[in-house]
Amino acid sequence: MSTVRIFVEGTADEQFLRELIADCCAESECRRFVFQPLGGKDNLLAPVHWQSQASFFQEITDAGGTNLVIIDTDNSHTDRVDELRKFQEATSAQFATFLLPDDNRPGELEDLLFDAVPAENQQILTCYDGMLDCLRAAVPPFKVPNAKEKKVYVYLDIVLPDPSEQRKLIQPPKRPFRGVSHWNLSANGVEKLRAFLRQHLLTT
Amino acid sequence: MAAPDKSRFIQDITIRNFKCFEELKIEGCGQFNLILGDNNVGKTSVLEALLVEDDWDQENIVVARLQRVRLDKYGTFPTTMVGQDEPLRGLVEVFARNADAAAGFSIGIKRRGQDKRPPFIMQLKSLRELGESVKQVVRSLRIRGQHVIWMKHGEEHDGGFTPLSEPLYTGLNLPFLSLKALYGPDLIEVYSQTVTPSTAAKEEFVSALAGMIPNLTEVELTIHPLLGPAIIARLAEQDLAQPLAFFGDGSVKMARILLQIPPAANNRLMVDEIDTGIHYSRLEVLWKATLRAAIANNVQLFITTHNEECLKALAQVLETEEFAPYRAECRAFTLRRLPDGSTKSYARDLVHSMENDYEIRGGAL
Repeated sequence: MSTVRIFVEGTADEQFLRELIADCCAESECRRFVFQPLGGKDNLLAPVHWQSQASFFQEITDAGGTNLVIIDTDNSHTDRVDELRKFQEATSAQFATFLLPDDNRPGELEDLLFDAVPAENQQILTCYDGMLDCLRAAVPPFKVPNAKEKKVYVYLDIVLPDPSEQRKLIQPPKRPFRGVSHWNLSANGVEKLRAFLRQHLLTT
Repeated sequence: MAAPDKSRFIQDITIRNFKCFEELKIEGCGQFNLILGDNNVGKTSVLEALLVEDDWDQENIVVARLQRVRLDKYGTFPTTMVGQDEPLRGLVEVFARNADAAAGFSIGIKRRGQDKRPPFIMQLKSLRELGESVKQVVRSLRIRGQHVIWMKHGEEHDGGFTPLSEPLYTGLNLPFLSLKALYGPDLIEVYSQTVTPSTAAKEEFVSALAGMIPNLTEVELTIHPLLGPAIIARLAEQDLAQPLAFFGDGSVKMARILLQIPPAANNRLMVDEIDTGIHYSRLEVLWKATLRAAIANNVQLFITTHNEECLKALAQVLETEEFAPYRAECRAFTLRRLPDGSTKSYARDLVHSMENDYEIRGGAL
């Protein structure tokens, strides 16, 4: 059975995707897959690394397998698609792409995680956003760095019982997403990624 | 100081019908090349193919080199039957992937800044077609535990255990360190040729080996009461000098690498499984000494390993101030067997791959 190699930015993305694949692809029907954390998307997108990276894509293609690139969109979907197109044209690497959070809007993994917050907990995120708005609106405004990652931690801090075993697993790459009530991997916002994974990973 | 002449360094290699390869291309070699891959994918065979020189018309040297490597590795060589008009079998059958096709094998080399020359081709030939020097090598086949059946003018001649043609072997300067190349009489010979004539060479050797043998102060040749001629090592504050072989496989391996680099000056050296016998904490010492000697002697290295710690150690060494200028000369090639049975090499950036924990050792996909 041919292998699927999934290029991701880091181990946090890998862990989330591993759990999502386990949730949406039955093991008996799933192609063999391996993750390749890039150590940051620049290791793929910077031209200086193109030829070396292309060899990892080519060996999967030669073996009859499939390459998937799942990285953050960040500010512009168009710009990210354009960067990947340049890599593809320069190296002839063959791969399919999904840009987080939903292969459409700007954002990153954390935006997808917010989509996976169950409806009954969405108000936590709204409250947190309100706090940030308040900080920004202060005169003079307060600095609010890297807010999305902290927002995930704050969310988990609020929903996890204290004390609990789950608190020991709050940090990626140990953070559980399956079998817990505070994440909903079947939420509408995750469906597009689930469909992408099923399309490439299921044998039938 | 003038820049070293790297024109003899190999840039591209094309191997056809040799051992497990129908065809293998390795392109863009640097001064330091790692050949990586799963078991039985052909890493050592690449090193063996590099025993061929593209500017030779001397089949006898190729025959002798390949024969020597085969004997070093397996201790045997297949029975050879030769008739005046019969194809010369044995060596070609051992090394050609498909001897029945009578195609033999070919190895093409492109050096830096040179056009590709016609490949060296070794084919099945009859005795009549062979030059006298090749006949000499064939006649000198030393078969351990087997006889060589030598057919001459239709008359069977038992040439088993014919003494080896020593000049062909000792004069070979075989640029190949097999996995099993540890302590032996030939190491003493290489030591006497490489280190003995030069005080500076000896000091460099002792200094480098001290990374593997702490407190080492002196290395010299002597007649040991039990071992006969031996390389001995003397330690600080110890009266007793011990044979080098007593300091373990790692020390001997490093000594052998350091001793065989100078004779390969301005050419290349192949080292099979460089990390075997070396403790992980000594790998950086090994790499620094090896690279330093290779740079000083302008030697191109082709090295195999399975060991991730060994690769990481090299990557770390290449990030030090001393060796960072040579980072671009380091290439890693992962060999993979494809579903159709062919083999392909994939070029990697070693340092970047190690920095980001990329798996470049091959293996199942």
